[in-house]
Amino acid sequence: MRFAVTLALAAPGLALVVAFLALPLTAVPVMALLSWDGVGAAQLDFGLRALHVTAVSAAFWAAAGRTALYACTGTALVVGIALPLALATATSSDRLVRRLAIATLVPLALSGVASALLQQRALFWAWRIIERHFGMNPVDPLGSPLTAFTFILAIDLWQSVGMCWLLLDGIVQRLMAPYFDVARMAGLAGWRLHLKLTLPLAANAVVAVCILEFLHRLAAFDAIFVVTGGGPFFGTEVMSLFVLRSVWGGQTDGAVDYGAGAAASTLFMIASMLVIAIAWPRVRTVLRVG
Amino acid sequence: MLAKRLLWSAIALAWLAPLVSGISAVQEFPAAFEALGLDATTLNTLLVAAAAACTSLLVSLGIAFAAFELPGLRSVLRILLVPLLLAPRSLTIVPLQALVVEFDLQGSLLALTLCVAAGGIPLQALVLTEAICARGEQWRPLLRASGAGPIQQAVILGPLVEPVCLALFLVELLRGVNSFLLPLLFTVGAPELQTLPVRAWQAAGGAGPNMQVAIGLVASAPGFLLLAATLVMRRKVASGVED
Repeated sequence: MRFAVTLALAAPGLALVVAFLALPLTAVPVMALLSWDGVGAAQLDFGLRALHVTAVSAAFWAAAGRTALYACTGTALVVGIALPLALATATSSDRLVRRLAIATLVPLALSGVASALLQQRALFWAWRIIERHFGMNPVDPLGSPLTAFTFILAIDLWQSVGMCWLLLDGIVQRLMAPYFDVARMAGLAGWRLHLKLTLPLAANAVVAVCILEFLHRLAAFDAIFVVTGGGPFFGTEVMSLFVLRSVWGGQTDGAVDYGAGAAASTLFMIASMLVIAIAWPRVRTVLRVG
Repeated sequence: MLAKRLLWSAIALAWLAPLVSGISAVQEFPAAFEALGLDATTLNTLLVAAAAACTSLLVSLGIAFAAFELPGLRSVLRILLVPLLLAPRSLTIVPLQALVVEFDLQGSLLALTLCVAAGGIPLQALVLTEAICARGEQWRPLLRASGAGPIQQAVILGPLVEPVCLALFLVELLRGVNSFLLPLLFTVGAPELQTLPVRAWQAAGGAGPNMQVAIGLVASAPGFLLLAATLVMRRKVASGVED
C-alpha cells in the first residue's frame, strides 16, 4: 500500500515527462527511419533514405557549422564578459557596484522576441553612428550574413550575460569564502588574487559553466527567428531553423516532410549527446559546487 | 573608488539603454496596445504560464517526495532527468509539431500548458529532490518511527522547502510567460488563443522601428511585473535559491 501511494505521487510528473519530453525525443530517430510524412498520407518508407539525404546535404553541414560557430563565439563572449564582472563583484565590498551589476539581470525578464525587438533598434542606431563616423555608404546591416550574425550575437550577449554573471558570482563567492581573509593577510588583492587563487580554484566550475552556456546556445531559436528568420541567404540559419525549414521549406503544396526534419534532428541529437557525454563529468562538478 | 563606480555605472547604462531608448517610442504605445490585443493575449499568457507553473511544481513535488521515500528512485531520476534537462529543446520540434497537426491540437491551450509544464519538470524535480532529501534527512528516523505514510511526510516536510518552491515557481512562471516556440507551434493558426510573444512577433512583422520597440516594451510588461514581484519577495526567494 505504502509503495503504491509513493508511486502514485511520482506517476503524474513522470507521465508528463515521458509524454512530452522522453517520447518525442525517442520518436525523432524512429520518424527519421520511417521517413514519415503524416498520418493522413501514411507513406511509410522504412530505411536510411532520409538520414542519408540529410547527411550528404551541404545545407545541413552549413547549418551545423553555423550552430557550432554561434555556440562557440556566443559562449566565449558571454563568459569572457561575465567572468571579470563576477570576479569584480564577488570581491568588492562596495554595495553600489553590486546594485549596478544587477542591471545586467533586467533582460532576463524579457522574452526572446521582446529582447530582439528592443535590441534590434539600439543596434541599428549604433550601426548608423559607425557608418557616419567612418563615412561609409549606408547599407542594411541585416543584408549581409556577417553583420546579421554580429547582430544576433549582440542580442544574445545582452540577454545572457546577467545569468552567467549571477552563476559565476555565486561560484566564486562560495569557493573563495574560506580563503578571503588568508589571502588579504598574505597581501594578495585585486587581479593578483584572482590570477593566483580564484581562477585556479574556480577553473573546473568555469569550464562547466562554459559547457552549460554552449549547450544552451545549441538550441538558439527565438531571437534569430525574429531578427533574421535565418537569412540573409541562410547566413544565420542555425540548426533549429534548419529543422523547421526541412519540415516545411521543401514543400510547395502545404504538405510537410517530417522525415527530413526528423533526420536533421537525429543527426543533431547524436552531436548533442556526444557533447553532453563529454561534458557530464564537468557539469557534475558545478552541480556539486552549487 | 570613484573610477570603479563610474565604470560600473557605464556598464549598467549600456545594459539599460535599449529599454530607456524605448521612451522615444511612447507615441506608438496606443497602437502597440491595439496590435497586441492585450486583454486576450495577456489572459492567455498568464493562464498558460500560471497553470504550467502550478502543474509542474505540484507534480515535481510528487516526484521529490516519492524519491525521499524510495532512495533508489533518486538515482533513477538523475539518469532520466539530467539528459532531458541538458538536451536542446529544439530536438522535440518535429515530433511535437507532428502531434499538434495530426491530432488536431492546434489552438488547444490545455495541450500547450501540459507541454510547457513538462519542460519545467526535469529542473524542478531534481532541485526539489535534493532540497527535500537534504532538509528531511534528520527527520527520517522520526518519520519512520511514527509510521507516517508518504502523504503525511509530504505534509510535514512541505513547509521546510517552501522558499525553494517559491523560487522555482517564479522561475517557471517567467519561463512560461516568455516561452515562444511552443506557443508558436500550438497557436499560430488560432489568433484568439495566441500568447504575448507570438502576437508580438506577428505584430512586429512589417512594422516600423518605433512601433517594434513599442511592441517589445508592451509585450515585456508581464515579465517586468514578475521581476518586480521577485524583488519584493527577494529575501524569501534568495533563501530558496541558497537552499
